[in-house]
Amino acid sequence: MPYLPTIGLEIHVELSTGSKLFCGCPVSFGGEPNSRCCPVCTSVPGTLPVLNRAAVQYAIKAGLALNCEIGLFSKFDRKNYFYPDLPKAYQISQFDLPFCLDGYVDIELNGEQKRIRIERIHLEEDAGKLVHDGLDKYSLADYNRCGVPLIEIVTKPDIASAQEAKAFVEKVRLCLLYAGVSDCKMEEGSMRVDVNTSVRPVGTDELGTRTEMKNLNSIRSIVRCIESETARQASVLDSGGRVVQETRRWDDNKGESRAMRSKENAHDYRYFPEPDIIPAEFTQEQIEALRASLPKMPHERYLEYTGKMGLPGSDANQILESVALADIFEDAAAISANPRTSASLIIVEILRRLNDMGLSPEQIPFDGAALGKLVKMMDERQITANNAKKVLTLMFETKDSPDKIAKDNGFAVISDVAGIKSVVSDILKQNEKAVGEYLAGNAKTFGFLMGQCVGALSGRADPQVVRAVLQELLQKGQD
Amino acid sequence: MAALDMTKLTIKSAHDLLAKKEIGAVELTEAFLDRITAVDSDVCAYLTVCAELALKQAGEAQKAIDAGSGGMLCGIPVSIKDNICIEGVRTTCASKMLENFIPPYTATAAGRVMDAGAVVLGKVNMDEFAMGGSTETSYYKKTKNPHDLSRVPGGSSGGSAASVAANLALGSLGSDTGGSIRQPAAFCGVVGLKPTYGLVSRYGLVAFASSLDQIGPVAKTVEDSAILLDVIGGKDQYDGTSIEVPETSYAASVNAGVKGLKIGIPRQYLASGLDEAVKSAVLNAVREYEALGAVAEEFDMPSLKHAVPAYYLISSAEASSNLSRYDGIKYGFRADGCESYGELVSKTRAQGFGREVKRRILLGTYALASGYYDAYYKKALQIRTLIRREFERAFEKYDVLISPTTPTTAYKIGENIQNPLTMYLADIYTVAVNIAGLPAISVPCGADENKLPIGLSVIGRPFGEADILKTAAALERALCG
Amino acid sequence: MTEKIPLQYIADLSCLALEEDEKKALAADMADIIALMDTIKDIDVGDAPITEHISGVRNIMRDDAVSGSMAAEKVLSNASVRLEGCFVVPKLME
Repeated sequence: MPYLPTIGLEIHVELSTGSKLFCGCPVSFGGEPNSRCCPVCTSVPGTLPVLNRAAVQYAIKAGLALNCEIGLFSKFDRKNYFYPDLPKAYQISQFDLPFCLDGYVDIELNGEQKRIRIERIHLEEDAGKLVHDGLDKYSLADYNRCGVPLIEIVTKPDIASAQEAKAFVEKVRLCLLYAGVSDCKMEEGSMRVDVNTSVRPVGTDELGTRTEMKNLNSIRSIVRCIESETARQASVLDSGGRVVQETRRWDDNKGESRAMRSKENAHDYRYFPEPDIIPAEFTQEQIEALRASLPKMPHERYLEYTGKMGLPGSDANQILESVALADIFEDAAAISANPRTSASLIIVEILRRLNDMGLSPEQIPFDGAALGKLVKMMDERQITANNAKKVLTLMFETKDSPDKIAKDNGFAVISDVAGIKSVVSDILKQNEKAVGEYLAGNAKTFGFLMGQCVGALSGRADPQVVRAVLQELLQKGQD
Repeated sequence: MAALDMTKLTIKSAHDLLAKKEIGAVELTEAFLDRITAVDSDVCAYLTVCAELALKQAGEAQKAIDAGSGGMLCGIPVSIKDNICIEGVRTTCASKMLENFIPPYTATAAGRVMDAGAVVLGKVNMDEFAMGGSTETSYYKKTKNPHDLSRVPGGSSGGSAASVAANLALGSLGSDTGGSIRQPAAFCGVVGLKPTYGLVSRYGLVAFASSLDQIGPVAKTVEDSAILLDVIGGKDQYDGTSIEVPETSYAASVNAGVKGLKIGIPRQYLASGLDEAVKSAVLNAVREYEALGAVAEEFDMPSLKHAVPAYYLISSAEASSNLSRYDGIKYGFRADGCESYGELVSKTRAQGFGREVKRRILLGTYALASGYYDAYYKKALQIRTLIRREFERAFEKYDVLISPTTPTTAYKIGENIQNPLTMYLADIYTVAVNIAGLPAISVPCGADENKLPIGLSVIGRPFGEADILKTAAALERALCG
Repeated sequence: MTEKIPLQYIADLSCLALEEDEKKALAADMADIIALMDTIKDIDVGDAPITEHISGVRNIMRDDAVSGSMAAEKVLSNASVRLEGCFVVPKLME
């Protein structure tokens, strides 16, 4: 029997504040275990949480970027459960009054748009990490991640396929990157996804029993896990069984999941209002100020890039992958009035150099204005395309402007024909033998002479002009 | 000066003598350390005596006094309840669970007292995790009432009250979640003040019930209480529930007098179950106030009768969560021979907590559990709203409210400990104040036929500490002449 | 009439491994205590809202400033067992 999946996602995103949610320990990745801890985030008796204002603002910005309504009155609650990565044995989270409610994201798949609704976004603290590797009887607990601010984005069960889930997660990731609230690095765990899946026979509306798959940390594993779980549930139903509501663990190496053993009462979280944190209250003006502080979202930019700027959709998407690239592109396009060349320099030249140097777009050492200037120099034939690439390479190494680099390195185009003529005529004098061969009818020697001339001009002249001058002088020699 | 017993001084009188150089800070501290050595084996107030630290602090205090920079608390020896953290000083909460716990940081209130030059003599006994009213649930020892060593000092701040009453400290910091400062102060015949929720930082106070806990002073006089409160009160960046209040001197407010003061007496607080001796002492206090020009009348606060169950539900629910962190992994007791995480946590907790703590954890977990939350915890929070509203209405009419602090005077050690319900019901006069977050002070107002002290409670508006201090001080003056 | 308390469930949720005789004693204590708590069940609270927080104030937050962490050995100083700079947890039963 054919089945249709119904999928809901819970996306956990670490916010890129400087300090943790409730204490002054820094938020960063890696480092020695338990080196970013203090009495507060390690639950030393008597300590108290003090709420980080920036984390609250980031959570609200995330909600605004994902089209949510912002609750003007919010509070925190305790979610109680024993687990060794949670030193207080309760997580400070939000239960019934989260910061953000009722949002949505529009995704596009095979040319069709679909709206995925977001139920809520709440702010909570991250847990620590347990290391199990190589240890038989024990796990080791590292609390560096404890208290890192985290938002949880909960969708409605609006997602109908692995590809929709992929498109949704990618879109959410991009929006949060643009909102500037997280680095969304799935490989470092700063964005993690729980997938709730159920299937129902085609032609019915009633939702099946769902399972939950926790902590997927790549788009690829989200797609594979949904495909695998949909097939598993279908085969359970086809063989006359029934799907059990459970939490399952996805093994990305094996490409399969298995049920986690869980205690019956594991889900009685005994939420209650967090007495250590005073509720938050906002005015509509404060919310609007946060909204105004958000940069343009990627879908808005996509429409501009592919519209009046005339970029192909694939180029626009490639640039939009990174806020830094998009910002550089927009500045360069504005200065040069040439979006297409600006885009092609970014996509072909800059991305390749970043790749070679192992840098991220945020580490590009020059701004969009400098790149725009270079494009303008090309358009005004002050520099050849070939030398423009050399200037670009040097822009990664020096802080100089492109025109200064071109001047200092003699890359500026020699535009006067007399100058070119004198260089070419010198070359011809030095290569009398080759000239003789050419004049004797060996046309291949022209290429050699052309190479000598271009070399002597070190690429500073338009090759078309050089060719014409060379032909003209050889012609004279023939006469 | 040979005849002066320095341990019998008050904070104020000791300060004056220190300032006049008639006594020295080190010699004052030595007098207390000597008395602790001599007497505390009977009273059993201290869990940890910090002689070395105390003498060092006393030496520094003397330097400050000599330099003319010492304040009211400079050189004053105090005790600190053993649920208030001092970096490097063992803090047990009178529990096996924290037998070897050395805090890596200092509580704000303790830090402020030490910064003001006070000398910490040591950490004093309490009910385990502040859960109890007699200091009998301490894992370590039973503190005795200095007025009758066969009786309890009250609790949970029994060590604080006993240390002050027995002249083993000039003042003490205790904590009050449902009466834990005021009730032992009443039983021991000293003054205990529970500040408005948010006035004193809770940072470094090992949490029992976060929405109810406050640190407050225990002292021999109302003025001494005010001196301590002046130092420990005020906004703290490490407590997100501590509140900015205008700068004020509580010590300066104690002499203001009560002429024209409007006093309300909740009728429910004079009802059955109250000892005749206590009732008559309270009514006598009312007559004293009237004689001093105050106006007093009885009025109704019907929701008060629900305060005890509401208090136990709210405090136990919060406690069940606050005490979940004790799992044997990060600090404190760790059960031996456990093969799995689940076994370690559940055995550590079963072996590390005493019976009363387990009762509260079970009650609190029950009140929050799925299917019971609405009937217990949520209902208790609604009753909390009703009680707050009744207090708000009362304070539209009255400046302060008064009541007995306890229904009886100090009872015999062992008399009630087997019956938790009797103990819970004895909190009837104190818990509503915590539920509503109000300030209250217990001041001695007489004694029963066994010469056991009786305490009168004065309750104020939020941040009305100056009102209750002047009211309590007026009675103190009237009764002591 | 007080309903029977699901003591084992509550003890499991509280992570308390109670011995049989202790469980018996606690069951008796808890029955008395719950009977007192049950007196609030009949109270009419009307539409009174819950007290979300006892102090009426709002928005106490701190600036996003990094302050120093503790040295790792101090973080671990009260743990009775530690290994490789970490807290040590016996194997989890999933």
